[in-house]
Amino acid sequence: MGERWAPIGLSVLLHGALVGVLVYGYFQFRRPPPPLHALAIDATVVSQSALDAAHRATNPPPPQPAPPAVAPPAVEQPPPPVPTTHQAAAQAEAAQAEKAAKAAAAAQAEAVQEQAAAKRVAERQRAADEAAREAAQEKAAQAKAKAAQELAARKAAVLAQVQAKAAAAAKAQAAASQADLQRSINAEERLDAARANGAMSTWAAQIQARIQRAWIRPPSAHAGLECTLDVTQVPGGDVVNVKLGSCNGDDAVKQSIVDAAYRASPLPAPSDPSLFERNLEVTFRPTD
Amino acid sequence: MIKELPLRARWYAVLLCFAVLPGLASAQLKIEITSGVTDPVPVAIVPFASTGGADNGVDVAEVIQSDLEGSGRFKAMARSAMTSTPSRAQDVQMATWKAAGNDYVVVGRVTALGGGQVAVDFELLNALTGQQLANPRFTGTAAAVRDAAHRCSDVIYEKILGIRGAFATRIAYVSVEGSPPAQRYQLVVADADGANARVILESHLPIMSPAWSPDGQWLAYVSFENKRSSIYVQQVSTGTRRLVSGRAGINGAPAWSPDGHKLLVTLGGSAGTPNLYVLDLGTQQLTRLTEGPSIDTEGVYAADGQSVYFTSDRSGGPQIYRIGLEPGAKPRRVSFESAYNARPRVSPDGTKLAMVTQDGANYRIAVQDLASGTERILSHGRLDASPSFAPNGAMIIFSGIEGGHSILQRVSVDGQTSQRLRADSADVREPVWAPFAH
Repeated sequence: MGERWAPIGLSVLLHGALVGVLVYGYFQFRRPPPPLHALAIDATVVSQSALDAAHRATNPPPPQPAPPAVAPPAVEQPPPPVPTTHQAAAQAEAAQAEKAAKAAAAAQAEAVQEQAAAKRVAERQRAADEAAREAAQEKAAQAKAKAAQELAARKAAVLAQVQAKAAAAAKAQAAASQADLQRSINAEERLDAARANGAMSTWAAQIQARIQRAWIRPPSAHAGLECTLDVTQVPGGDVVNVKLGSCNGDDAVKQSIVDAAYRASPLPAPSDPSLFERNLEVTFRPTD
Repeated sequence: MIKELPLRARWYAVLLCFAVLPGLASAQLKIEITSGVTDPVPVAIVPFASTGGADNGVDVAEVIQSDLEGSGRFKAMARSAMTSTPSRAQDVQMATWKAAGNDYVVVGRVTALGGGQVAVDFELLNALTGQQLANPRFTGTAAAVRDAAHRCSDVIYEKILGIRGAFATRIAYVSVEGSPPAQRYQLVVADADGANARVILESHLPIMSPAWSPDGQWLAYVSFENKRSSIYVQQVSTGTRRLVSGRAGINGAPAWSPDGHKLLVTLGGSAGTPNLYVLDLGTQQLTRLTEGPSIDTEGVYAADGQSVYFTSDRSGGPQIYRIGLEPGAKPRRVSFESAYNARPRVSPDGTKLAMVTQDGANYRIAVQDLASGTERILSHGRLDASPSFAPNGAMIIFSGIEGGHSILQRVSVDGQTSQRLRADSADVREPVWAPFAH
């Protein structure tokens, strides 16, 4: 039993290790972002801050918006009151007063109007200033955006370059690992072939001969028949289980095939006990 | 860990696993079987139990054993080697029978059912796998026990070989006793193994060419009882018969159409040479099939009923030809292997043609594969004649000369096995195997 499990265990371990290495190696490449240092890439390492610094050096900072110019208030002061003679006429004075009052009122009204006008002018000026400032801000923003765009584009270009190189490297690596896999498969096949050329093939031929002698072919077992049988044997060659797989024959053929496996029991033993295989896949494919 | 991987990476992981799996599976050793043997299947047929003489003196197991061994496909265990004689499946120690080299074990019993009826039950067991393959019951009168035994043989044969058994069928043949002029001709019907022979017609003048109707109820034959050849059809069970062709000249070699409504016959007017005709049994209408000065005879329908094989000397010696039934059809030669080929008979599946062929100084039974044209000589006698296929196509019955007598023999279509049926003192000739009873 131990002799039989050792090669199987070894084989499983070997395959497992191979798969593990392949899977791990492969995933190392696939994990973003690519660890650039691990790859043989002919590229400069570029960081975001370095990119920003470089950008600042070649492009002056965007103009700050100018503070709004404060225009002097264009409000006219009311004219000073005109002095009058006391006696000359109270009426005149009164009239004067009235006139003055009127004038004052008028002046006041005028002043109010002028104030309002001044205010409007001021407001207009403020709006204009505001618009100018906004325009300036917009322009500045546009400039900044353009700069950012350029920066982004440049960064993207650099990144793409880096990624392309990384991808190429990953592809090369994948191809290399595929080649490795193929090489190990080939090695396995060569090993199989080597085994098949030796004691294994001798043993298989002995089993084949024994089952062929044990197979009583029913008349309906024509050429073109193809049936598979999974035969389980135990050390010593006793057939302990027979399971019919696909079979294009009739019931009698199927039965004869199962019977053949049991009739052939016990099966011959391999010259090298370590070659013993518990499970046989027997294909019935008569050629005549 | 695998959850952190992108979906595609997980896919690659799965694919890689699959790529490696076949490597692990190759631990299974692969064997290819390209040939087998045609050894007989070893089988133990345990003597059947019988209560109160229910078996009517028939040793059922012996009949089965004789049937199976006679087919060449089975080898039965000697009774003397049996250490027990179970009659039921549950009493069979499978390992013991397997250890004795048997692949299959047959156990059974005959029981009286009352009212003169008996039942024959058996179990067919696979000693290798331990499975029970069949457990049929056949009932009938005590006189039918032997027939039931043949039916048991049919079941066993079919279960193990995949071909319907033909043991419970019948044969007919002509028996001739005495020497001229005091000869006695008998038309005999018997079981396929030659047992249960009974005479259905007797004459002091020749009886020839019996032919079974497709339903197995009637025999057509040629009788010279009226001092010249005439063709009759006779119901086997009742003996009822009628004359269907008593024309001037030759009336010979009747053969039934597959539908049973017509007879192919050879007729030769007193002036002319024999030619083939189709006789409608319902209307008595006669249709000529072949023309010319050559002898055309021994016609037989192809399996599909669309054409006819016959013997003709149109090329000099006797050879087999085939002609379509449509008007104006021209015969085409079928046999080429020898200077003499005659008495064609078509296998039930229509794929083979049996004939008598000249093999050096001998006449033997040959079978031609109709698709390939290849021929194979099956018999080894000096003067073998009258081949007839079993209804399952597995064997051919024929007559041969042994010890100066004509006897009945059988050969498997693959030529592997042959045997003689028990012969009486009489000459037995022209055996014809009946179709399956419907």
